[in-house]
Amino acid sequence: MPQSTAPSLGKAQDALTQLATQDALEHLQAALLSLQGLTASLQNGDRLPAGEQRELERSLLRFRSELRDAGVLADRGLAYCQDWARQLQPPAGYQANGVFTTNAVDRHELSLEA
Amino acid sequence: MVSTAGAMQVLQRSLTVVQNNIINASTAGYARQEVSLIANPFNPNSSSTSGGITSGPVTSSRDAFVEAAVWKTQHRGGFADGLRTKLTEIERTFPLTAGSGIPGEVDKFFATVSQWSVSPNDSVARRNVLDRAASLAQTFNQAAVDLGDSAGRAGAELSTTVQKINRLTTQIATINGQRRENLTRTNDAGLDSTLHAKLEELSQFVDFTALPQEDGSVSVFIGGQTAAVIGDHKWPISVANAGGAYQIVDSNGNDITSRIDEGKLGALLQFRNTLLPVYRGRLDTLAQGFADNVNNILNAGIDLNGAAPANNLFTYNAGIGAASTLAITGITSAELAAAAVGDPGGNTNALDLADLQSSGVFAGLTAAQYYAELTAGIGERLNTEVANSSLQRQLLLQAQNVRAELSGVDINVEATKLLQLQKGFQAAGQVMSVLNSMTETLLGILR
Repeated sequence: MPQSTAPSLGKAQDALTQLATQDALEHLQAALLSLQGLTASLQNGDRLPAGEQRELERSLLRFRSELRDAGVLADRGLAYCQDWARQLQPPAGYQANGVFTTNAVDRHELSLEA
Repeated sequence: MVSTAGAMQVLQRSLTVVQNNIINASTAGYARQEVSLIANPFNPNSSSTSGGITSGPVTSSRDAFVEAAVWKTQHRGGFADGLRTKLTEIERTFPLTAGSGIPGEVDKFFATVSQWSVSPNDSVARRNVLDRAASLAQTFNQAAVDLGDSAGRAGAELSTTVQKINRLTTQIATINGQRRENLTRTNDAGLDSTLHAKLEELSQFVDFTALPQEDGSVSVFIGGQTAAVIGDHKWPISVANAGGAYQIVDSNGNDITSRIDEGKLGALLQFRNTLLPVYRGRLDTLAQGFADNVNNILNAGIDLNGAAPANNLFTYNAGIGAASTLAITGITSAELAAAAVGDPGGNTNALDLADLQSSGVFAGLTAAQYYAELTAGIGERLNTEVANSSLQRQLLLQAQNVRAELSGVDINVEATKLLQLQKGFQAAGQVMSVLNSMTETLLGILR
């Protein structure tokens, strides 16, 4: 018998706002496992009573809404980080003698691209 | 959705703090800021306690004890640096190089006296003694002028330093006013860094106690007692010259000199009021003692005409200062008394004068030894202050390093933090994409 509610993403959202992205990932992975189990159960032909099926559907719609909000948080955080990563890039360019110079130090060698 | 909107604001604020830390990584006086996060009450059965997160106040990583340690080191370093500079300046007035300065002129004077004692009636030898005596007197005069100039410069520097202190306390009072006007600005990292940069600059000039107040202002007490800044009010100090000694006076006219014993102001006061008068006094003692002894010996003999000398060789005004007023009188070379009474044409008196070079007439010390003791005193004090200055510079560096570890911004750490955050957000986005796909699949199955 499959469960009749989808997992909640409240904790994952809180973790994203605290910049605790590792915690957020753990909460998301837990939700992923939960959904995987639910999918497997339904694909195996398990049936729910009509009332519980509607409850599960509402719960999944709520979960999708939470997922959308969490996605906005992640996109916003990512954009902010990328913006700041660009601003941390050192000034660099070609000198009059054609030599390319940069004030790069170790931190600038870190690639922030995906 | 309400919870999500609040979370969005918290995220934005957290990242803004990181951003501000990076911008101010090199700003003087800046302390790393951290945002605190507070979990909201959560009750799934109540719409008013919907969970989520709220950002708490942004807190500064500034440590008051470490700041005070930096200031204390600055007070002491400012004092040692100030004295070192002033002592180096007057050390040039008292050269130790053979043949130069006062000891060189003393040696040359006695060399001519020695030649005169060999040919006591030789007019050239007599003339040379007068010339060397005049040259020696001028050297004393010059040393006194140099010390006087140094005193004048120290006085001018005292005025300049007091002006700088008053300018800084005015700026601190203005910042206090800004922080008091709007209490939320108490946590304004920009105002906080400006305030602490000013306090650190002030700490080089004068020792003070800074007490943070509940309204966000910082009260500053010079020497730990004299109010210089309270809130947005300031009380300027001033310099007064009382009988040749400089005083620092508070806004009510009270003498607060004794409370100032560190910082550049403390160094200038000690140099101008204590050390310099001692060195000038010793120089005067040397000039006066030398002149008196030479005069006494010459007055005990008879001149070229067999008469007692009508004039002293040296004259001075002890009231003004023997070194600055030392000169030769209008004595003629014939009036120099080379012979002893009852031995006209002899050289006994000239020999007695030549012996003065090795006589301990200054509390058992010869003129050269007395001079050496004076210069050694200056040199020893200078060496002490050079060592102090070096020690305080190292201590300051250590205190600043401790402060940087506690409250400074490490741009590499902030950059690495950004990199980790970025990868975390990217990974979360990918997992969410999978979750979204699975949710759509599930909804499809259910429908």
